[in-house]
Amino acid sequence: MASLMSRPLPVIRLIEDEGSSLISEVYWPDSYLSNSDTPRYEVINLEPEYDSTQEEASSSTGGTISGPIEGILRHFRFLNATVISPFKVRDYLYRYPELVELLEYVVQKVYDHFNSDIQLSLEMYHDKETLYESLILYIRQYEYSENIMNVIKEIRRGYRQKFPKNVGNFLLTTDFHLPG
Amino acid sequence: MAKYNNSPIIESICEFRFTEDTNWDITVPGLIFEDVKTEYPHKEQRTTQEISISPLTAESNKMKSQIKKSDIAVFYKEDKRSLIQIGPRILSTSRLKPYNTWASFKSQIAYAFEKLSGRVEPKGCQRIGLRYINRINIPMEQNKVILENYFEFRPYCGPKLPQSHGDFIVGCIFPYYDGRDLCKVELRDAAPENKDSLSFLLSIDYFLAKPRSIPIDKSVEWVENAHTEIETLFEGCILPPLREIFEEAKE
Repeated sequence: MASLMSRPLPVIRLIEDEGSSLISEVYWPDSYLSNSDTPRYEVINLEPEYDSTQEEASSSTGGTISGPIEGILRHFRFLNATVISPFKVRDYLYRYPELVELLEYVVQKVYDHFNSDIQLSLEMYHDKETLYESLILYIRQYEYSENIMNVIKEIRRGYRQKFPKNVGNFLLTTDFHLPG
Repeated sequence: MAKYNNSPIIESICEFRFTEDTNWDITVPGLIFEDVKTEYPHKEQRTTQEISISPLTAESNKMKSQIKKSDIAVFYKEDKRSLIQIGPRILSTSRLKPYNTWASFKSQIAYAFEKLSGRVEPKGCQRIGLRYINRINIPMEQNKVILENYFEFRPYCGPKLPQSHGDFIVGCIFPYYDGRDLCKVELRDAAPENKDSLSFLLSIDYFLAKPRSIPIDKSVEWVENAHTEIETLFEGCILPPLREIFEEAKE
């Protein structure tokens, strides 16, 4: 097995092209490459001089609907929250994307009021008879205080006041189950 | 990209940002709604925040950041899957899953552009972007997915690094036409669709990087070319096992 010291060194060249961009080329001796057909990559300097008129042009194509939805679902993963039937939750959020902002608000408020010992569970509720459906965020704890429903009601008042025009249905509650 | 029966596209979006010399006032979204309301009958208003950070320059050693708030008018079709968004000197049109065909999305873009051009006279394009966001669900085998079996565009970890990893993001900007256009490709993990699979988001964002570098009347033509480049890039990012998952449509 070749030792670290016996490895050949790469050859790096900086080339200035006509547009004053710097192009760096990295070459490895063929013997070092596991496959001689391996493409050789180069990293080019796309913005040699800062130009404020191009600042906006280099940002992302924005206004996406999927960005905030996928973002909040990732955030739930980060919080170690449970998402039951993610397919259904995701579908509902794509139908009512305005719920994303509400969810962000509610999660923030929940963590403001409860310690980090809680577990959140995001689920869809469907009533087969009335066809009513709603996104539900459950708060679960190892120990429940008597005051918990009052705190939840206070958060509910907050989000109903802040997001009065939502078309999608949402409820924050608890089922008094243990986390897990 | 529509040649797949099980297309991974969750959103396609085409956005035009017009130059500052384009006359614009707060009545523009309302005027455009009048023109499109038979096709896009539902309207909403949203506020967006954009943070711009100016890099260090020779003159100043401080970075400047600015938060810009804008009101965006959103017009939805009946199914809420196709929409037009109008902001200050910004027009964008999107299609959410299920994506139909490029011809259909292109006609949606041309329709929105035509309606806007009927109400304002765009002087130039600051930026045009065509972006496709794909969510790719791959079934796990032994509780894992080996990316190199599915993607040509993926994170690479050298042999001295751990060969298993969790959340990740990789991205690259590819230049086209001497840097007039750029294409930002990003692959990252996403919240999984179910417990037996892992999900990934592949975003391909092709944009006009040099303001005013194409005439305004060539904008829709530019979008057509952008689509061709995106299609090539998309195919370059994936390997045959993914094509099997997407189910290539038989001609």
